[in-house]
Amino acid sequence: MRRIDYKLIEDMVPAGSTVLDLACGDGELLSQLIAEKQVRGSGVEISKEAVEACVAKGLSVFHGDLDAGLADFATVRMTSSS
Amino acid sequence: MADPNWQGGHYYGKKPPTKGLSVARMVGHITYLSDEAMQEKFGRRLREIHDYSFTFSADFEVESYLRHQGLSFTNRFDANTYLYITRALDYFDVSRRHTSLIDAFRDVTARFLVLAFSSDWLHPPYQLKEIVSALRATHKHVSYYEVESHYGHDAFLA
Repeated sequence: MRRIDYKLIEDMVPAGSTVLDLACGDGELLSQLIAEKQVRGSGVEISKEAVEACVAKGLSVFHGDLDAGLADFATVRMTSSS
Repeated sequence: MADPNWQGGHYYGKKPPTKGLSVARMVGHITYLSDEAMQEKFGRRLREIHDYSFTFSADFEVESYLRHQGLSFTNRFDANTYLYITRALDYFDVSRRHTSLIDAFRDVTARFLVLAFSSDWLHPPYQLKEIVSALRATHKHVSYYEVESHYGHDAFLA
């Protein structure tokens, strides 16, 4: 069953955009956005099990702690603004 | 190479540089472990004695372990092979013929899963994250996963 909040978010995301889902959990929303909105998506998640679930779904996910900052994502910002 | 038996690599048919190779392996072996793993495995434990001998013999368990690792390695490995392989690792630099690591990965089409072991001294997580960042810069499909382990580089065997 589709979560209503995910559906609401999906309506707000322009098709084909680039999405970074912070604390993406098991990647349900991301997969939905990729399937429905053809976004270029990746996620960040701290939970081991959730990261495994994302990888199993074929998503691009980064196992890390958001409290440690997003320095590892600096290169993404640079290229997407150019 | 400091072993006189090495003879600039021309030791075949003569006495091989067992001492040099064995010391090299002892040094190498330490890098496959971690501080925590060594502490747990050996600490300051003594080997079959109750007090220090105040000599240069292997009083500590860690010494005898490393000496054994070094010596047994010389029975199954060739010194020049060890030199060439470690040298090849030293020279390996994926970004060398490119302006950056990002540039080096530019034409890659594969999907990546980068796995790190938290206590690995040889491939520390921060270096693997550099690979992830570089791949992400050109929107490659990449996932990163860090396995929590205190077994160091050897975690892949555990």
